[in-house]
Amino acid sequence: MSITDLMPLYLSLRLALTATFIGLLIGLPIAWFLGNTRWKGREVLDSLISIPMVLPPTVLGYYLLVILGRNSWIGSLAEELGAPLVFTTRGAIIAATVVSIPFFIKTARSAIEGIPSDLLDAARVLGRTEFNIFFSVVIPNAWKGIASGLVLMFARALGDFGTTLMVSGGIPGETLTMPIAIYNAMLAGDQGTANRLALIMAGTALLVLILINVLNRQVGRRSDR
Amino acid sequence: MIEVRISKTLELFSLQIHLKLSEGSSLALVGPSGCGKSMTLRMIAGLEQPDEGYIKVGDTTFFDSSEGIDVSAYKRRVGYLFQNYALFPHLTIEKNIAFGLNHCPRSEKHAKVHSIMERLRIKGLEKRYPPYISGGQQQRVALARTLVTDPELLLLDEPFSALDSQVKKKMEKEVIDVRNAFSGTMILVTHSLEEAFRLCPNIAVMDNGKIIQIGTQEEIIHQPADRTVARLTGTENIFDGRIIERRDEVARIWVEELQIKLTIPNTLKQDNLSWGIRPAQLIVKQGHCARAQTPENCFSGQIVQTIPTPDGQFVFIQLVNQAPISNASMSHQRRDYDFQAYVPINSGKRGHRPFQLGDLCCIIVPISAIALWS
Repeated sequence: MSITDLMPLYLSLRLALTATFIGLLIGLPIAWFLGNTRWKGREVLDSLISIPMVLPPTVLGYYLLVILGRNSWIGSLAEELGAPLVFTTRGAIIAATVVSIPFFIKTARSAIEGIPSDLLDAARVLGRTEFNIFFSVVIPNAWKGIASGLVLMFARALGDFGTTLMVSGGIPGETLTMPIAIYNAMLAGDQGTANRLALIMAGTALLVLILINVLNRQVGRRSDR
Repeated sequence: MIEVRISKTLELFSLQIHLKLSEGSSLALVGPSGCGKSMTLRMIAGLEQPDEGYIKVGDTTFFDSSEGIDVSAYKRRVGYLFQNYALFPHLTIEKNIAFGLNHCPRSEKHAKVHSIMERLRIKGLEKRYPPYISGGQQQRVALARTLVTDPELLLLDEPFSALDSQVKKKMEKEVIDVRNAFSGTMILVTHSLEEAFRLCPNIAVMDNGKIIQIGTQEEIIHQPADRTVARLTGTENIFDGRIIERRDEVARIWVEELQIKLTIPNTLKQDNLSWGIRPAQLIVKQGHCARAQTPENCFSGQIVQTIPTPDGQFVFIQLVNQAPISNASMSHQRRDYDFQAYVPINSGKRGHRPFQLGDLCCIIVPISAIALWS
């Protein structure tokens, strides 16, 4: 395996891990809110968050390009701060996060909703604040669902092609991720490289599925007893 | 003094509760499931917000819609025992019990947890997890977790409904012990009148979101406010009557539905009233009523159905009327029995045999056991 094979793999892993970490920070509070609130607009918010799941990746990439590009206020502000978004690693991370975060929020939300409401009520009458309950009751009882949501999100971020390509192109060493590298290799007629890269990706996907299954089985066993 | 006056519109009915309790007393809220009794407890604990009204416990106002006060549940610090215990599955028994002592110093916490565990006889379970202990033990852990915080007000939400009957009897006795040692105020929610009787001297009967009657055990049974209370508290035999004669202590009424005259206590001024009697209060004897020494309120009947229980039997009796029923449509409306009575197995003399279908019997309605309302 040459260094040119490993560079896209390293980049993909870095992007996906960063996106997953950002997803955890942003997504968990949202999942908690959606899982706990009786606010009537919660399903509308959930639908808005889920849009990336149904939108074609290129369409999503197009809109991200419009929002983050030089002509938008977000894009021009970032440019002024010396951190342009499109066609950079930052842009690729944003694209991967937006594409994959619904998977995390949906899974984490249902894990949080699965906690019996009596447990939360018991914690409340025993003098714990909502913030405290989040760490002392919600996380310990829903961590497996949260973890499998993170794994799903990671897998989706790792495999993103269309959105990342639209937002950040395929700049070697900066935004040339595995899926794009595979596509480029095929275009160039380099079947060997494409084959190797595809195998690595397929292996990673399999590993992710096994991990999710293990997590889910333990969740199931727990509710059995 | 605990005073609650709250209202809340729910999907099926609107809840309107007015309650006053003196400190240290205990009250049972009894009613059919879905009558709003649990919701009432949840609102007192701050888990649910009333639309309007106020909740005052001692000198503290928990809720007052007119002043915009709504103290959060975590600051109210009431004791709450959940129907299914709501123990934290991820924490050991010890940590479950200490959950409400978050702000105590470590040594004090440890001492408190261990003294309450000793008191409730759950020592030795410290390191176990809730799913791995028995239902009775879970119940005790839940009770310990609540009592260890020294609440002024203890709310029990159907605390025994998930236990099997043997454990239940034991736990009820235990709760009575706790009750006697606990100086605070207690509100018990239950659908079982028996449970309410065992634990609380005062009872509030609820239906459709409203408290119909609050009173002592004696008042609830003998002076029900209306037909609903009588029904909910187990007065199975309920009839309407019209006063035809008043004497000093007693009055005579005509019971159209049964075509009988009955002697009742002369306590109500109204001429049209309802009366009822509990199945266990009726006296049922084998054979015909001896005409010569007929006591008051003695009627002949026939057994139309029997239901055996471990300690006796329920018998359903149809009166055998000498006079033919005048109104033909009356007989059409009548149920297939007139009285439901409970006969303990060891009643009567030696050689007593259980009632059989078709037996003739003599049924006596004791005047002192009749409940009356207008």
